[in-house]
Amino acid sequence: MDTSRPEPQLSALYQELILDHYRRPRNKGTLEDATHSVSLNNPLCGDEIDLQLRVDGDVIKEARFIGRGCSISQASASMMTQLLKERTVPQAIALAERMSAMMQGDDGAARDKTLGDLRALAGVSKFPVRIKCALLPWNALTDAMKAGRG
Amino acid sequence: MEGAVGLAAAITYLEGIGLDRIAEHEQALAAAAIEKLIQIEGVTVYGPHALGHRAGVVSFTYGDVHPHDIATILDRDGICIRAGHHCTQPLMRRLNVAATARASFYLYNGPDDVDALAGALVKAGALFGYVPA
Repeated sequence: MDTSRPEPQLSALYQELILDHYRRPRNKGTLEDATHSVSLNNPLCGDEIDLQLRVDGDVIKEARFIGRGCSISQASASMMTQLLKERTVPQAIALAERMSAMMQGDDGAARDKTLGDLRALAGVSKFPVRIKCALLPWNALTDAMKAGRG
Repeated sequence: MEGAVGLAAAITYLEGIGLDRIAEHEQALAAAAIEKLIQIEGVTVYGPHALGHRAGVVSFTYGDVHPHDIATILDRDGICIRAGHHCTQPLMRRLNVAATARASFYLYNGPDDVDALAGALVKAGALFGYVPA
C-alpha cells in the first residue's frame, strides 16, 4: 500500500453529528407558502434535493428540504436549513461561500463559528469525490438566491 | 500500433487461461460473496441468487447506509466497489432504491477478497450504528 501521504481517517468524515443529522434530519418537509423552490440532483450519483424557502423582504424566514442521498449530502442539507432561519439573503450567500471555502480545505472557514454544525463536515475536504455531496444543498441555495434577485 | 499489439497479447493471455475457466472462477466468487453477504442482517442482494443466471457482479444495499457511504468506507480498507445508479435509473426506480453498491469479481480476485468484502461491510454497519433488529 502507498504510505507516502497520510490516509484521512474515516472518523474525521463520519462524525457522530453528521450521522445524527442523517438519521434525524432537521427541517425536512415542504413549505406551503414558499417563495423560492429549487430542485437539484447529481445525475452521476443520484443524490437529490428539493429546497424550499420563505423569504420575507430580504430575510429567510423558513427553510425546508426533501432529499434522497448519502449521509454527507443529507446532513449538509439538514445543517444548512438550520442555519438559514432569520438570515438575510447576502448573509446566506456569504455562508455558501464559507462552506465552499471549507470544502476546498480552508482552515479558517473550518473554524468559523458562523458555520455552526456544518464544521463537522470539514473532514469531507479530504475526500475529494465526496465534496460534491456536501455542496449539493448549497448549490440549490445559491440557485434560489440568484432566482430571487433576477 | 502499440494498442493492437497490447490487445493481441491480452487475448493470447486470456485464451491461454480459457474464457470458460475465467467465467467459472468469477461465478464461483460471486456465489461465495452472495452466500456471505445475505448472512449479514440488513443486507439485500439483488438479482437471482442461483448460479448460471448472473455474471461475476453482486449488487446489494445495506439497511439505510447509503451505497456511496459504503463505497467510501470500503475504499479505506482497499476494497474498490462501484456505487450509484450503474447507468440504470429505470431499474433503480423499479427496485425502489436510491442506489446500490456493487462488487465485481474477476480473474485476479480470490476467496480472500470475498472475506475482506464481508468484513469491511460489517465495519461499515458498525460505523453507522446499524444494529440488526
